[in-house]
Amino acid sequence: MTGNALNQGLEDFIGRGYAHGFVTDIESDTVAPGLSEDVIRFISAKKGEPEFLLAWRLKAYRHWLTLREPRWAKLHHPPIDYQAISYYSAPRATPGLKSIDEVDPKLLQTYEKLGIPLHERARLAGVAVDAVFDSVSVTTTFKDKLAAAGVIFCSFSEAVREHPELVRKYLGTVVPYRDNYFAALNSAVFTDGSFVYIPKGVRCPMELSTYFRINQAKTGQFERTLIVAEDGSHVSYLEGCTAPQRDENQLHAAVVELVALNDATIKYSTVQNWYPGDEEGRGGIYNFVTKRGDCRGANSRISWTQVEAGSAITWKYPSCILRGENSVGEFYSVAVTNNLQQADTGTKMIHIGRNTRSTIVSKGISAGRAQNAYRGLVKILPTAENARNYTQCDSLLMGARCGAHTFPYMEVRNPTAVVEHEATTSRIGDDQLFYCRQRGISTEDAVNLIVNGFCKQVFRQLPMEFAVEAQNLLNVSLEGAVG
Amino acid sequence: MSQSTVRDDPGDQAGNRRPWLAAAEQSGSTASGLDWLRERRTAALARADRLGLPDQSHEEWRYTSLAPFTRRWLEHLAGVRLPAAPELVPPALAGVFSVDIVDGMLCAPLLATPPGLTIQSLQTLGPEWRTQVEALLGSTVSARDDSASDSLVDLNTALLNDLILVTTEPGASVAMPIHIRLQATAASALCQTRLLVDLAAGSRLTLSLVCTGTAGVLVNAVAQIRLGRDSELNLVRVQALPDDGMLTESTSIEVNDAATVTVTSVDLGAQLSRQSLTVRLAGTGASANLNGLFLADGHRHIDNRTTLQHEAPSTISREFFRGIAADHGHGVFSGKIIVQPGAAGSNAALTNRNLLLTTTAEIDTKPELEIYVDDVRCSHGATTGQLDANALFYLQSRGLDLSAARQVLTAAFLRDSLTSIALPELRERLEALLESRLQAQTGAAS
Amino acid sequence: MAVSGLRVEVGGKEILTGLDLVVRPGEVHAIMGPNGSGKSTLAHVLSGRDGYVVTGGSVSYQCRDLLAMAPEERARAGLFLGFQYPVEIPGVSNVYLLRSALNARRAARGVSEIDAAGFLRLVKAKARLMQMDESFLQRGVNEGFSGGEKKRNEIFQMAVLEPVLAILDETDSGLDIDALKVVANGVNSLRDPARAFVLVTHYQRLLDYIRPDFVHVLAGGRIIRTGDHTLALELEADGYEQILAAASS
Repeated sequence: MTGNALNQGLEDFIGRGYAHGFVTDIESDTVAPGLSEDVIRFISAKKGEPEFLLAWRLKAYRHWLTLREPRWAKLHHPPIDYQAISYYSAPRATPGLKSIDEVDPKLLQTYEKLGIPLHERARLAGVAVDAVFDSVSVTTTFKDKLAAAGVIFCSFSEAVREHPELVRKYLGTVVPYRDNYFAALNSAVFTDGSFVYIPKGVRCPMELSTYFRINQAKTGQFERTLIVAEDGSHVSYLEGCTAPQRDENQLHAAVVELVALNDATIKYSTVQNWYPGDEEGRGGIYNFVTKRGDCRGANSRISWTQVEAGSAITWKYPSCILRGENSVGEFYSVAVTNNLQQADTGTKMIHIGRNTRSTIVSKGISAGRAQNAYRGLVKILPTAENARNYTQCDSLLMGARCGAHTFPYMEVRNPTAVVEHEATTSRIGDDQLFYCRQRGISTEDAVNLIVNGFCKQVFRQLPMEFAVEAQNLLNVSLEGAVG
Repeated sequence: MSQSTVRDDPGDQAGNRRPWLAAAEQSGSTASGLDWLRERRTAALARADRLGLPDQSHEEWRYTSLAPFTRRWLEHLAGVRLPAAPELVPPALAGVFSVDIVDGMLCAPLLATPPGLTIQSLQTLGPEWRTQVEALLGSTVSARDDSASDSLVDLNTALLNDLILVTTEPGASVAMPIHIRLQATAASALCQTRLLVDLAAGSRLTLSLVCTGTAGVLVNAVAQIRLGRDSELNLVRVQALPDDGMLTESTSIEVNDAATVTVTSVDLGAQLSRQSLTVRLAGTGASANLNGLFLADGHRHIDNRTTLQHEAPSTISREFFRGIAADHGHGVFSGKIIVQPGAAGSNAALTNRNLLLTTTAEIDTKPELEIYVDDVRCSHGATTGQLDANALFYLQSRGLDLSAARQVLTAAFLRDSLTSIALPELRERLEALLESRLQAQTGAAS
Repeated sequence: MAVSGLRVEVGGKEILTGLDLVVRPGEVHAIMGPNGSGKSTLAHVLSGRDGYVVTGGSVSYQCRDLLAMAPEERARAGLFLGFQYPVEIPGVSNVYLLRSALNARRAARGVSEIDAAGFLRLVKAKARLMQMDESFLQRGVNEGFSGGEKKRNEIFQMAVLEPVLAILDETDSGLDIDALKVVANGVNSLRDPARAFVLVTHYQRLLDYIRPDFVHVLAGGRIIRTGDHTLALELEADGYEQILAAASS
């Protein structure tokens, strides 16, 4: 089937509308918009899932029906019509572009500013990659290396087929389907994602990255990721990329679960650059993500680093449950909003075990008419003897029409704990700008320099090459913010 | 970050039981008094009835449930009263002008108020005051998401028996501090106190409000305060209700051009106390200093919510709030700073320090910034923990034993909050009272 | 550089009331004066800081109208201001700032960017000159520096950027004697027939180590007396009052 013929068929299919009811056409690649138990059965059947998973999806769906969309975040958007979304669309080759000459020159310009290597630009722009970049051989090389170490790194669907016992043991144990509205929705309809398992005592020999998992490109909408680090293991995982990612699906609701057992370390880094909508706030992704790590074992450590630059709406609070004694949770975040973007992001640190420690560093940058909120919870339970938290939360405002907000919650129930929070909000200092200009640096470069300095504590947590790209991303995202 | 499901037990939902209707009927309050006030009271009752009392599904009531408050109100209305207990008599102070208000009513006619000052009650209020009173009554403006608390103000308007209006003359510097003693007795099911304060341009006033009561009292207090340009107010507010008393309190202060308000708030009593204090910096160059202290020992639940709203250019706010929770106490502090789009050049800083002394106590704190303009400098800092180990060690190395060292540091911690009280005698008494209460705590903890 | 009849207001108040000053390549000028005489205003106006309103007079620099140039253009044309109160820029490392600054100047002169190795050699050499620990290079600009370290950092930046005209605003204030010597050595080592210095200072102390060609006394917003380095000694001995009195009589 050619691309055009496929599109035509699809339009006809969708054109039938929900009124015609659900058609259980197991051969088709896409279901009609709408959500029902039948749709969930269809997804599960299509993926050949075991019974336990279907049962779990259905429980999640039934629970979701009893929930209301959360309203507490400082976000405004028109109501989402959950029956207008198509919940299954099989990954398939993008029709369209044959060579890089066909790519929108504006997009290529952005790639250049971000410093993305030439050979990657084509792949990111959706040109058929095999001719340009031998993804298959790369994939094979790294798979061999990981297999030798005993590391499992595969798509979620593959894990369900090949390692159902592991999936069954850990799925939903960190983010139960009852957790919140969007987690329940994801649990019911997720289509794919990543699965990582690091065996006892293994230090994963390379940074794991979705970058290598090319087949995942079309499954971003309801992604589900599960990472399990056994005793004494260590893994660093990178998600996303700095290049702008266009996606026709407006609603994204991913779930990420991390489990760290005794002495294990998981480092999870995200660069999010989904389509933010245009200057007038038209279009753009609504990104409602639930990410949580469970420091289940003693001396375990989970570290979240995020650079959030895209999406029209960002709603995410990567969290740590510090259950094991001496466990450590960290959250480092840069959130940039420009034009009419809205972000309500932060973290939760739940201290349960003795001597647990957490650090939160959040840097929010707001420009244009954007609204940027930090929301964080630090909770010390009575069992968390000698728990420590330090939170630093800084906001930078660029322009008189944007907003920056800070909503930290601190709930302390143990007298030996110490919880500290500091926050500042200001604009770039005139004296700092003048100092740079006196040294011969243009205003625009000086702003980039100062903004990057402001975010340095967070960028330092990213793997080296990612950090450089993240800096460039920041400059591109704030283009035109200072007039 | 609350869940989208409703947490409160529906049985606790006051809205279904509407004690205010019974209260209004019993007192006939909406049918009495001045004509122009009557209309407002009827409207307020209807609005309160529509909103109901706030519950924990409202973000700003996340940590405090009014269910016990409502329950007791219904019991009181049904004639259940706790046995009379010894009254906590509010302090009589020398060198001040004292005003006694019992169950919201001005007790006796006031003689010889200090020059430049008038104090009136509903009974003595002439028609010429109507505009001023109406402006003040309507001056509570909810911070963006605070509308849930408005029903408490409306209830007060609907059910009050009296209101007290304090005004100054332009340019008057009232030398003698005004000491208002608010006493609640079990005579009313829910005691409503209403205080209006209007400072004319260029005037100065020191005002203290001490709230006490008999066993089992319920109080719903509202104060609305306006500072004219260049005026100065030093306000002290002390909540010293008996251990089983309950209080909801809504105070709003409007600060106009170049005026300065200094507030010291102290909570040391009650079983349940919730204060919502909103300061609007409405005029260019207006400034506010807030100092707060609470001691949540025993089984107290003390919730303070402050909102500093910068509405005009070059406004300044400084806030320092301290809290101690011990025994089974629960302390809550939310401090919000809002800088609105027109408030360029504003400067706001908030510090919150809490001491948690036992495993059975809890402190929940939530400092918030909402900033809508870039030309600002705002900061907040909050800590919850224990006494500084270095300082404790230092004192021990100087020969103090651990419990003495704790007492010294804890006393210093709370004394710092009281320095802005402009009535020396009141300050000393509070210091002594708090120290003796803490002595029991730190002694027990060592 | 030629300043003639310069009049400057700050917030509606006239601070400079007709100031004349000519600085030629290779010269070292010291501008001394009591507090509030307009010394820092002069330094800020010459470097292009906002908030100063020029109401009269002119400044020509390398045959260009200095006052019409943006601050960064002045810097790229070789004008350097050593700040009295250097600002902290958290997270931006010293070397990063310097490299951006150096490359901006090179680009303005049509020279290609300096390569990483060459740049590193350059800054290390200059850091040695200023007896600065190399760890300073990687630290945020002035972030957590002591007062003396900040001043030393200013001279270090000057050494790297090799200006044509350096204006040092009270660089000596807040320095102990050792730091003062290091700063003075730095300045002396940069003295060059093609480079000029304007030292703005309250005390004569710095001039024990840097011998100026000219000393000017600034009072009431204008230069009331000019002499050689002995004028500074005279000021030190007699104080400002006597000279002011002599000038006004």
